[in-house]
Amino acid sequence: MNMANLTFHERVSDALANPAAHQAVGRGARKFTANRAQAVANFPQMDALRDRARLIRARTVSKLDVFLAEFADNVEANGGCVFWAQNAADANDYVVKLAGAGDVRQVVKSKSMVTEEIELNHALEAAGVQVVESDLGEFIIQLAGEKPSHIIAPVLHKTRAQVGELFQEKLNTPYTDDPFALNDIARAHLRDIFLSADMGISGVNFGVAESGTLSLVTNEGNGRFCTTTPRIHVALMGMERLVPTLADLATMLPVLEISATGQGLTVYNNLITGPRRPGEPDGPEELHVVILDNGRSDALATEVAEILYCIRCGACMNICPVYRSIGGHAYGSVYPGPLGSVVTPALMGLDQWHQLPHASTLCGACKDICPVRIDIPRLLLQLRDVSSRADHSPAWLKTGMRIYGTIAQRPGLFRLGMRIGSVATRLLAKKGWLNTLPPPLNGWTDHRAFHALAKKSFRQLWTERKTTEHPL
Amino acid sequence: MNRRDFLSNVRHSLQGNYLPVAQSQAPPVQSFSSFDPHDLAAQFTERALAVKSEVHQVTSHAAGCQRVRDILAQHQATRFIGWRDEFLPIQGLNNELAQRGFQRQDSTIPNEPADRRETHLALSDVPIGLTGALAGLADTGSLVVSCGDGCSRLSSLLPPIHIALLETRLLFPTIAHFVQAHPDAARRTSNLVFITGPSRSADIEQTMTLGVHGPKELHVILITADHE
Amino acid sequence: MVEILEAQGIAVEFSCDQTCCGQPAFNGGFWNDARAMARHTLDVFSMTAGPIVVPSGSCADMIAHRYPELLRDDMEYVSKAKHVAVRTYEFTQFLVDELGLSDAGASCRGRAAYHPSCHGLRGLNLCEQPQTLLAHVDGLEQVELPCAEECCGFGGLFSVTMSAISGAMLERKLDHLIASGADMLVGSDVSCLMHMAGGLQRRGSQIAVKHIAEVLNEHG
Repeated sequence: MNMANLTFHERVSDALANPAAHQAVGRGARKFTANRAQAVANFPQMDALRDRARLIRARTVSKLDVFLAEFADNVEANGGCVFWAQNAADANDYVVKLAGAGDVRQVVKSKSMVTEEIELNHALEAAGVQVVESDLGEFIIQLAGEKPSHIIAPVLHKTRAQVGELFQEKLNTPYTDDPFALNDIARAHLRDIFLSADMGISGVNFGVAESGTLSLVTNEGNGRFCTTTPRIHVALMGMERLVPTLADLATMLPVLEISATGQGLTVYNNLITGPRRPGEPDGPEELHVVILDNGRSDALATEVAEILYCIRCGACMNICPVYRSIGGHAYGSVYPGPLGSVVTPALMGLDQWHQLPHASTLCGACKDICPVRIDIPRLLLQLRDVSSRADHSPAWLKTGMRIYGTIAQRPGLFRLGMRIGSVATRLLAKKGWLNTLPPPLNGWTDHRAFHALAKKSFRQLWTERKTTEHPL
Repeated sequence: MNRRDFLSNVRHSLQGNYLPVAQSQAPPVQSFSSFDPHDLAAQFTERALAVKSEVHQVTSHAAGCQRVRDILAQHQATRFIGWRDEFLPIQGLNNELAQRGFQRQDSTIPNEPADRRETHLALSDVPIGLTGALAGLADTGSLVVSCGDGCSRLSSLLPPIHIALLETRLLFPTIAHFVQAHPDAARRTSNLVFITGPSRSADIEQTMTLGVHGPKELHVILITADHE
Repeated sequence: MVEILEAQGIAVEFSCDQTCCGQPAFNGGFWNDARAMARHTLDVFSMTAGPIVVPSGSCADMIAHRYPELLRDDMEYVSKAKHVAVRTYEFTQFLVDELGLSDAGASCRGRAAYHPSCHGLRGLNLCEQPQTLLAHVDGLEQVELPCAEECCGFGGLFSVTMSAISGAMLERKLDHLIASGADMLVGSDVSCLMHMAGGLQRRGSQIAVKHIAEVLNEHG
């Protein structure tokens, strides 16, 4: 299904019309939230760690140029190469050229949202390089030709039966829906690829400025393979994903991992400082770190700059009732949920993405759960303000709100309006309820009845009470 | 784009001052009360078991050696890849194992691309990897594994079974405690890894499966040996 | 609400010139319209003295927390906003936190599930207050609403502009309500209650929908 050509509302309709997928997503998101809650109960220091985590991210982003320089210097001092990519095209060109120069025929990839953001796989494949995703979830969606629906769990929307059918079709394995058997199939298939691929590509969860260290967080071990067995390792990093020191990393790792999956630490927290050093028995010969801007410096110069504190844990989407209802694909971009509703317009512009900030009731659950305490509702409101001033709002709403605002400044008109509303709705109602409202308000009655306004408003009752001096 | 222009864009954006009240000081340095690593053994064991590691508590190097032999024998393994002697806490372990018929295979990977691939593939059916550990973390049941010269990365990654030798005296309460004691741990080597249990995935309907790519079994031999 | 307050010995005034706090415009991103309504509301309430009690968590949150930020560039109104904000309370917040009340002397038979509206819950930390008051209502059995803290899907203009999603969230909330075995839904925010009542009507449900003030004012 080609998401790019559908509007937001079309994608939402598609999502809601697919109960199996959206129930799977809802169940999965709820499980993540429950796992996180359980982990927090076992880690009483979590709240204090979150406060520290916010301070660390705030400090880092407020001096991002300084820390980026320090980080790059240290990567180079350890024998790595740094490439500064202003945008997706720059980053993709660099990696494609590297692959060409290194005679790379096959790339094995560890999960990286940044590489999805820039569509790196597409660029490599167009250049004749075979790319194999090695994270189990990413491997599945690659086989299915889909995009991930969640930043931590790419196949949250798929059932085991669907995975079984997919493996049968694409890998010629006998059908099974047993996760353990499916696991073994994937392991066997990817083993040889890990051991023979020419280049490994990964993301970076955090870069440590003081040592030029790359921190990679996984559970499967595919991240370790991609960054050990191939001769060339390329790591792509969003420019904001730094922390100043290793001590800061020691705060961020448990905060990230408890928030994301409810684990005190994931199975592998891999710290890479340069390529293989002389005397070391294994590891890649070359390390390239691609630092990506792709709209981040633009976002830094707007009211929603705070979104750059995000550490990509996914807790916000797990708890979001909108995400749980519509799933990740409906958001139409790589980052779904509350995160995506802010970061996608922030990086890519509101023109194409002005619907996203409105896909929220501002319930605030995301703000409560964000490990670095980003005030996502406030950022959504900022985007709504910018969006309405840029004239993205439907004309009826803009005009309607202007009229409403005018009436609300004139109490006499307001009272008159309420009386007219009361008479009109009671006239049209059947037993007090209206089952259709005219467009553009029909959205209400598409899903619920509308009660007629009361015969007497509170202010009428109050006025009457005062004039008759009704006893208590 | 070059570095200067890239960073200049960032600096320019920061001048707009759109971030929440600027907090440019570092968070306060954490102060930790002193601890006895031996008091942490029980918590470490409990948390390691919870993440599906197997923990073998031994009180002598001889017992540790015996346990390694038992695991090798249990899996009918005659070959293993692992760290050089001087990086293991049990002196002469590799020799001891060799004498009993368990051969340590060299896992040095050559530079040439074709040789590299061949060597990796040749190592892919070695059943056991044997390593030491720089430290352990009690609150998560984790190992701190510092790879480098004589300490291959593959030993804790490629074989389906990983045996790690960890001394109780090297336990820390949390990762923050460890980093405070070893602030340079990352930069001293190209690869430092915190390992918390055998490899796992929950991508398929959030059902947990082990051994997705990394080892399926992790055996921690926890050595409390004061007098050796 | 007025009757309950008067029963506690509080003299209540109502300014007929008040209209709307401006939250729908603010949440929709129409901040100039929101500012206009906020200024009017502040003009009206600046003529009053003493606590301002609001039978809605979202309106109270708007006035108490959003006005100062919305009007921060307006020298004249920003201080009015601060003075009004500091004496604005949601109804249950006022009864419990300010008057120290827990038993309003009400009696009302039924099995009630309470829905905590998001702005009240997260903006004003209203959690205990409604529960305390309901626990003392004679004859009222409180039942737990599963996933109570999950948003009902109203969201202001969202209910119309994103109606499909709003509807899906509403269905889930109502499924939980019906599963709770309650015969009454109680809440503190009319907007949420209107949305849920409309959904219950569609389902042909007999579950009654009441604002907490109605329950606390019942005397058997």
